[in-house]
Amino acid sequence: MQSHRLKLALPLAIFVALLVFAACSAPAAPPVVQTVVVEKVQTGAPVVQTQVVEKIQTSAPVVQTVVVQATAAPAQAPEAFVFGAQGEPVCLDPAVITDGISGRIINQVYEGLVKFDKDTTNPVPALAKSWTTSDDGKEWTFKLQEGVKFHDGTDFNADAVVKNFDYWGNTKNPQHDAQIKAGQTFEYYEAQFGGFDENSIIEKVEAVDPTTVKFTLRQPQGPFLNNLAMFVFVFASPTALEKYGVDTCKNPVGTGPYKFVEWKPNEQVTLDANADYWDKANAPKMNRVIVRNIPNNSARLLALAAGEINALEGMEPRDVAAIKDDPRFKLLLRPTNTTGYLAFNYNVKEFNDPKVRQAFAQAINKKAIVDALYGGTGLVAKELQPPSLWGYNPNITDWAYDTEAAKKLLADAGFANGLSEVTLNGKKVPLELWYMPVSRPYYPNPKDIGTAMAADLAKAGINVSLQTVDWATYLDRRAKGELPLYMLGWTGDNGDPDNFVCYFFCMSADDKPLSREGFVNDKELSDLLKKAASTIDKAERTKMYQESEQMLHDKILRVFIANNQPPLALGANVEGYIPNPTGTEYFNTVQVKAAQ
Amino acid sequence: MATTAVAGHRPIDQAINTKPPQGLWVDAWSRLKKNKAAMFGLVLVIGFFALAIFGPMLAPHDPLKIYDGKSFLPPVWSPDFLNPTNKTGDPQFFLGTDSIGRDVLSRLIYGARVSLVVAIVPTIFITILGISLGLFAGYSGGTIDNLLMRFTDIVYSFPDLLFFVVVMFALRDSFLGDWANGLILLFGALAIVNWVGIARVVRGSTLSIKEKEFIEAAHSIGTSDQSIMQRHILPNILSPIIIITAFAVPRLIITEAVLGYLGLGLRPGTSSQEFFVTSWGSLLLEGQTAINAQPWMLLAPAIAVALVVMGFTFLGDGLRDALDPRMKGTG
Amino acid sequence: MGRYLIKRSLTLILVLLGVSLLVFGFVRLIPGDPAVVMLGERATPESIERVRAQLGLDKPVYEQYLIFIANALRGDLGTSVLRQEPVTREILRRFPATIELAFGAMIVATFLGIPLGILSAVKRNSWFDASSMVVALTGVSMPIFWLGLMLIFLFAVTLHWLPSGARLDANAQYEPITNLVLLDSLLQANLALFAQGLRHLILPAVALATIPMAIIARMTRSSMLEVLNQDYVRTARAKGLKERSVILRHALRNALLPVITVVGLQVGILLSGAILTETVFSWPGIGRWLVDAIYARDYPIVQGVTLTIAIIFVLINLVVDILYTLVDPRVRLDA
Repeated sequence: MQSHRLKLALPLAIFVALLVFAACSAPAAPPVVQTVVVEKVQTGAPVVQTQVVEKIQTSAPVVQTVVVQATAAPAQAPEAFVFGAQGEPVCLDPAVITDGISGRIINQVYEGLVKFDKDTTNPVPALAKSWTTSDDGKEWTFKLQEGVKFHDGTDFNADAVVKNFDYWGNTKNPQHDAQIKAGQTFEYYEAQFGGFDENSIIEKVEAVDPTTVKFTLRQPQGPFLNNLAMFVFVFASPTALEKYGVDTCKNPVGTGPYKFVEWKPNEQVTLDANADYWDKANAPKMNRVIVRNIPNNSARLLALAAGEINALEGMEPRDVAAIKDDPRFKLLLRPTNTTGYLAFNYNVKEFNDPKVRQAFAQAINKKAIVDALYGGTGLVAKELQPPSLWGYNPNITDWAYDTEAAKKLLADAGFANGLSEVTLNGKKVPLELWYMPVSRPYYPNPKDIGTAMAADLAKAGINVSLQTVDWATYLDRRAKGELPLYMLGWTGDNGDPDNFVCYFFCMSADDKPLSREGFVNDKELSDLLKKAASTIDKAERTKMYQESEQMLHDKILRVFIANNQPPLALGANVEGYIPNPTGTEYFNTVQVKAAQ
Repeated sequence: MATTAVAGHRPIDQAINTKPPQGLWVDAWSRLKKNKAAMFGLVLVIGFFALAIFGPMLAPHDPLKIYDGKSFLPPVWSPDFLNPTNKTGDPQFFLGTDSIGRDVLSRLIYGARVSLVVAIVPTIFITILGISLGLFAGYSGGTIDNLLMRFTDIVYSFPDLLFFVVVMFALRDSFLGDWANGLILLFGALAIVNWVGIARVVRGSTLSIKEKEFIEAAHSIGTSDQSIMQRHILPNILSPIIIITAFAVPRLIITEAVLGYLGLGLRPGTSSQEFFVTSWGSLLLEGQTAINAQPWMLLAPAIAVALVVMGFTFLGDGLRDALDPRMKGTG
Repeated sequence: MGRYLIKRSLTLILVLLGVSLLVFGFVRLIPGDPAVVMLGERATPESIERVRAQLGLDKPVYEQYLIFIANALRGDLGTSVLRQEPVTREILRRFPATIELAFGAMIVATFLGIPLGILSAVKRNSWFDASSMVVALTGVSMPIFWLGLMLIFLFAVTLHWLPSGARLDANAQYEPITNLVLLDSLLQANLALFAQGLRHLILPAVALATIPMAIIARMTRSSMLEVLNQDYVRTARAKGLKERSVILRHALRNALLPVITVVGLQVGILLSGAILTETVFSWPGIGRWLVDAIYARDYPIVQGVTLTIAIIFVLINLVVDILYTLVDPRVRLDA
């Protein structure tokens, strides 16, 4: 019986060792992988082997030659660029999507009149060579590239542009109608151009001649060109549209550098280089692009470490720090275009007191949150627009973090004993802080961030309870105004300040408060923003947007927490990857070099 | 109960072959006591309970207190290979700190409470319901068996996860969902899904046992059905029950983590005055995102769960052996 | 036996009706209007109405149910809300991946679990017994999302022996017939593809197998221990039969009954428990699909997948019950 204890002790030790081994083997060991890379070079290069075979016939020390040749000869570069995506694309018909995962694929297959330049949101020529605009800003004339063909051989010309715009904006268009009947929506068209048919800002699109398109607008639109550069306003082959109808989702045909090959659901989308790409200077550098769906963040990083993918998006903030100095990876930061905020629901009586809102603004230690929870990629936010936008106001000084000041403000507002209950639509409810159940670029770890905020607020006497619910319900309940205090954020679509400020603080056409600004009723701000949207002169617009930021700051309509620069990890041998602030970039410049 | 049994075990032990058989449990305890593995398990289980009950007294820190600028610290004793971020530990945090600077050890201690409750309460419910229905079905046979088993078919063929998701989505905002950070709701959902497994195993074993001669013998001397089920069948099918139950405990703890993974777990506590502050499941979940950067955050809860599972299994095995009349004198 | 099968088949229909009703009702309990979810934040009341009508959500619930059942009987499980794909076709395409995974895991679990259990029982209280228990428990107490990542780290990143996920390499050429990669590659006599598929299957199958393996091992052990003490085993030993034959011929067969129940139960757990494994290993099965569909309120997918899983569960239970009679003739099914 004495020995029984020992019998148990040994396996116990094994068990703990197993756990420890498993866990600690995680931090990766570079030398091991490097050996493997060499192995790959030796086995995975058929070209090299052919050369070797020829040598073998003439030289005597067979084995030696093989080894020397195989390692000394330049290794063959990989054929494909494999990108690890966080999820499944929804649909590959640009007209009906809003998600970035589809958008990234669409960016490679299709092109629009203009596109965002490199790592900026400046519109530059794509299928339009040049353009002019009338003095009143209502007429835009585009000169098109000549000799461009869609992947199916159809000519790209002014007619194709007209047909695509008709498909998007004309509810009587048969393909448009078919999509609506199938339950699809043309969401971005409606959002960026004000609606369909007569409601749209675009009055008509005409083919002046095969290489000239003229747009007539009902009223001038400041962000018009930026809107056209979005990944959704790109052209599908009219022949293919007619042929596939609602199945265009699975059969994308554009003019882009890569053409669609295959979509295996929940696995990958494969694209091949378009050999006849019109823009020889920007021809695709790889033969193939594969976008693989790897939903788990840690698994995706491991797949990169294993060399199975070449690039990825979506990392745990803590992993960013861990891979920063790892020679196997390149870390890229996407220029910031996101803002995470804490929003007040203005149906809550207490939040209509600016003192209470200021107490929130001063109670939260933004810098500590950004430093601890963004893995070094975050910036403290003081405005709704990120600093990269031209409407950003550099002269605003943020409310200082000051717990005592917050306490005093709260006492002045009549809550000397703290705030833990609020009045929502006349009913007393506990003060809940809702954190998002999913990670987004602006809040990579909402639960931790929410917890940290709650702790800061508690120090100032604001006792919130943390709440969450699944993402769909979260958005739904927020839209219905049921969340008193919630975390949310925004990623810019088109690099125009309008897309940030007006989206949230322009009230409805009949000046009713909207749910997305938390039902704030501020006509002064709304009027300013509406005016800015229909102004063309950029200097004038800049002034108005900066003024709007000043108003947001002074009135503390919202507490802005952080701007993030979402990280991307690449293999060390990937070159030419230029992250665009909008979240979707062009892969034609990307090249995977041979390892070593 | 335990102490009286200890006091009384020696005479029984000595007299085991001469006196008429003592009560099943007293007898079993004396055998259990000799089983070192089972005793080890018992110690682990008692320790687990003690941690859950006296946690607040044992924890060195407030589990929710955020130490500014102390986030991400490894344990002081952490070897280099466990510490990829190369930060220096702080002796006051024995197991280091988490990503927002809370003491991991204190969180672990407080987490024991939720995990204990999450594991034990539904287990009791599951076991009672599962055993009664399984016994009844297996023993009755025929139409009753058929009906009950088809009912378990329906419950069983409904994917657990869908059930959890629906229950959590639908009731999270009701008073049920608010109760104890959503814990009560979690119990209900866990219990409803899990009783079927035990019921089916019990029914399967009962089917086989009831054909044995000694049951026929009991019938022939006019023993009542209820008595046959309780006194003859139940003791003979204890071991599968114990195994399933022992495995139910870790499964429930981990299910709680998995629900958290899907965004359906318990709400994080905001005040250490609350009864439920965090759970091992939540800690495992926080740890898994830190696999690359903070391995100790995952190691601590994983080892804790493993020890508890081991405790329950060793104890369960010992109990099984101790309760088996044929095992007299062995073990 | 024949009569029993007929009776079971009839009750099977009732069970499926019950499940379908449960599924149908449950899905509608989930808060959040699918039309709202689908249209996103920019939805207008008119577009919501339009989509609701399109999805048939404007009809009374009982009518929706009858339509669902009538279509399901014809093999039509509706069309996905988010991606406009016929659900039946998509299930046929995605389910085989899950079946392959669950089958692989079941093989690992039984073929390791049962021998491990037997050995532990035979060498009771030995070093081997304790170690096997500890290994089994390690598996149980590690959540799949962690264990899976560890396996990937060890075998894919560090050792480079196996791929980190997916069913096949990114550039694999595969023309599906049944969508079971291993079967198809054999049918096509493509051994390289078979090997590749197998390599991809190993890690997820092992990760998924840990919990069932532990339970099966423990159950086999205890069941064997019980049987080994029975008179007929003693008799067999007394007759001087070889220990090996005593254990395999006499003891094992009798010990298997509870094990079979547990194996049957585990199949169910494997099918629905594959969700996390599928996520960690990027496996394109129905588990992930189902979760995504729940989050997107894609009713037709949720209903279709659940019903399919239910049918498989019920069939497995039937097989388990029949196996009882084969292993233990004393169990009379039509009693």
